[in-house]
Amino acid sequence: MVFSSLEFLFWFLPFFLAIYYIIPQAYKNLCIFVFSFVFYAYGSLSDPIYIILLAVSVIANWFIGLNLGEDKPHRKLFLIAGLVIDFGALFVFKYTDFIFGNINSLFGLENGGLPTLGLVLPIGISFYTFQVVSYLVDVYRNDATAERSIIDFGTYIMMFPKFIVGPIVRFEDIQAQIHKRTVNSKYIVSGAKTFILGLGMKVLLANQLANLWNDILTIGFTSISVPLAWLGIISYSLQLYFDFYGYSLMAIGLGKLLGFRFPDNFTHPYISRSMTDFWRNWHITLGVWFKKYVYFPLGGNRKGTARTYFNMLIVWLFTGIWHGANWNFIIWGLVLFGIVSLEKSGFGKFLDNHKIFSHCYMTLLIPLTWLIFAVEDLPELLIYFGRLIGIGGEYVFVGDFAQSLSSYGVFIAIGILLSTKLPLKLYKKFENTIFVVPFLLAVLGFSIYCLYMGLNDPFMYFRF
Amino acid sequence: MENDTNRITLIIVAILIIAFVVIGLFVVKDKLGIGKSDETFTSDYDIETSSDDPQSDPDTTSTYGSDIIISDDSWPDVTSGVQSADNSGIHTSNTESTLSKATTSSTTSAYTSSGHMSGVNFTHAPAGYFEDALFIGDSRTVGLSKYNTLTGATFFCDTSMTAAKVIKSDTQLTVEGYSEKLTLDGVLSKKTYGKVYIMLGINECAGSHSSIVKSYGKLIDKVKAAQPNAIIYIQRNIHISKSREATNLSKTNYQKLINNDNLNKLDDAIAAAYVDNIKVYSLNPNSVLDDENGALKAEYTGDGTHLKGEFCAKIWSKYLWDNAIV
Repeated sequence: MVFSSLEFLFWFLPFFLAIYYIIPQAYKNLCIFVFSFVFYAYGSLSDPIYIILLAVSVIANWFIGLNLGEDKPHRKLFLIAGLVIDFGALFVFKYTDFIFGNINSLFGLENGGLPTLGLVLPIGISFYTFQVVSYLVDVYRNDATAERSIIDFGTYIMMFPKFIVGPIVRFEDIQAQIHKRTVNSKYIVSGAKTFILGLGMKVLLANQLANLWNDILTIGFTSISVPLAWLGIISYSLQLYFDFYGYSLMAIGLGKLLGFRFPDNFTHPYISRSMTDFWRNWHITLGVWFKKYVYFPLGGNRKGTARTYFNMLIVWLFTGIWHGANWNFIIWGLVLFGIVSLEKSGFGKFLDNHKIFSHCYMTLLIPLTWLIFAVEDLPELLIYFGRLIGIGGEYVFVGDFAQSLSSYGVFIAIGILLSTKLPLKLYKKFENTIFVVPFLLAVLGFSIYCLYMGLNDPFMYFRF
Repeated sequence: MENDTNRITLIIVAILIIAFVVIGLFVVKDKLGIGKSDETFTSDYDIETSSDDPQSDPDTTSTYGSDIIISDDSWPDVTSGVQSADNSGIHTSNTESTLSKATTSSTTSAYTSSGHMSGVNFTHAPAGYFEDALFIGDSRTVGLSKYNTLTGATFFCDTSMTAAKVIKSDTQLTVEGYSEKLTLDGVLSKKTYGKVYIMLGINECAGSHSSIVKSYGKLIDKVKAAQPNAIIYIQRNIHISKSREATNLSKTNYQKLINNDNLNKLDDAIAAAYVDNIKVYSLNPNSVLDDENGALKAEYTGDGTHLKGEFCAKIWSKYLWDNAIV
């Protein structure tokens, strides 16, 4: 059940909020706990075994957490056990087929080699794993105290607003709020506003832009014109941003409705002037996680230049593979490592001093790196790169660019505008005035309308 | 005393770990038993566009891989009607190829391996053949209209088009070469066509087949009335890919019915009603587009439903060049 679905908006959320606001303070966490479990169970109905897996995982991690305090013997053993369980589950579900497939092709065992398991990825496992690991490590390092109540622990780890795609909230950031938080009308109003803005970004912008990328996949990379190839990756970059940013805003808004403050996940990444800067502003909670739990433990930049670059390589390799079990994600991670390393070795200073150049540089690099991210099939990826520079087109329909621009140009223009700081400044200025209310109601209304139309049009797939 | 509690905690942890592993193995074993899927996991960003979530919103999932496993034996019978249009049993997997043979043997096996009636001479079309050709269709034909080798052809088609809709007087489409929007009657009156190609049905195949057949009848009558000398080619609907079909089968009842078996049934019914091999002929592009399961070859499609532009031109167009009544 995604937030931008009618069943969430009209069934789950109202029902939950009604009970959550009525129920006494002491039971509010229990309410979140129960509803989050239902949320997960509903999304896993096709694989009910996953519901049990989650329950076992929550109990196991809670129990392990209790044994990580400084006064506990075997605390190291418990930590290792916890990491093995949590990363093990992620590894099995996410990477088995990829690794088996590579072993098979390496040894020429196409048929009769290691089997393809085709495991369905449990919902949110990548985000869940990182948060639970942050909990265990924080408790082990004494940055946080172990959570005694399993309800409170479960509330932190399963909380539905952040379960599917984050933000990755570290325990130490939220522990105090789990135990004591106030829900007042100011918070609720602000949360609702944030949620609606996120919903609008996802439904009215990202979902519309997605159609352009779908069109390109439908046409096939071989037959797209050069201008369409460029328009396609620009549109894809915006789609990815507003999809994810919108979803993060919805999560933050839901958090506020419940009285929580989640960390920001995006701060205008597309106006960054270097790749290093970009990744400080894109999916911030993931970057922080890697810094805190991978980069610093490896020694960060305190062990000499060579070691620093090696540590960065590890971080980017893991960042790549975390995003998906495929070679293109590994290549993508390595490319980012290359760019960031180049910037660290002096090019970054040059970018700092040349404002216009640095914006051009990023305008080019952002869509190009997302292209590697977007296309999992490597020969297809090469075809697309070829199309960008006019190589290898067959049966290209010359009018495709004009057609796409007329259908999607408005959304792309809005997307570019929303990537700058201006709209947020404007919004902040009017946020507490009456003008913002009809605007948000219109966004909500249009979003629901689009969702409703989408659900009732089974032929959505048949658009060319 | 403290040692005891430690021991107990350790034992509990051990049990939990074992339970976890056993459940994990159970899941793995379960999956091993069912079968193989070629699909790999998709990226995490797909999760928020919900490929991870079976209850996903419909408009964002189409491009992404799904992890659903398809069972191969979901093609119940071949056809009710006249000539079993299953060309050489291609659209069947191992189990039912026997079944389809059994069915075809009881009726006249009328189709040749290239997918049309035996005894009808389909030949390569001469140059300029498509200059007086009209194509009526849905989004698939929209694709063909942009990516083809059929120089000079006229296209009357739109996304989500159906046989029921195409004949309506308020269905007005932009047709290349004409400044104003045209109805079907309009486009039929603009020019004398030597041949009219029709491919419709996939957008309505989840509904009543008999009413689609009726709409087809009205469409063919309109064409015959306006263009008495034109040859009418009814193209069998291009199949959908195996993974698209698996996705559809996992959806609501309505979506479930958009599958290749149902398309075959519909096309059989249409052919049985109207193909006379005098004025109206049947063409089967699936004979050059299918894989061994009788589904659209995965490499030919980006979304499982539409041919990529390249293959509209290279394969579908070529098929039409190769299979003409001259």
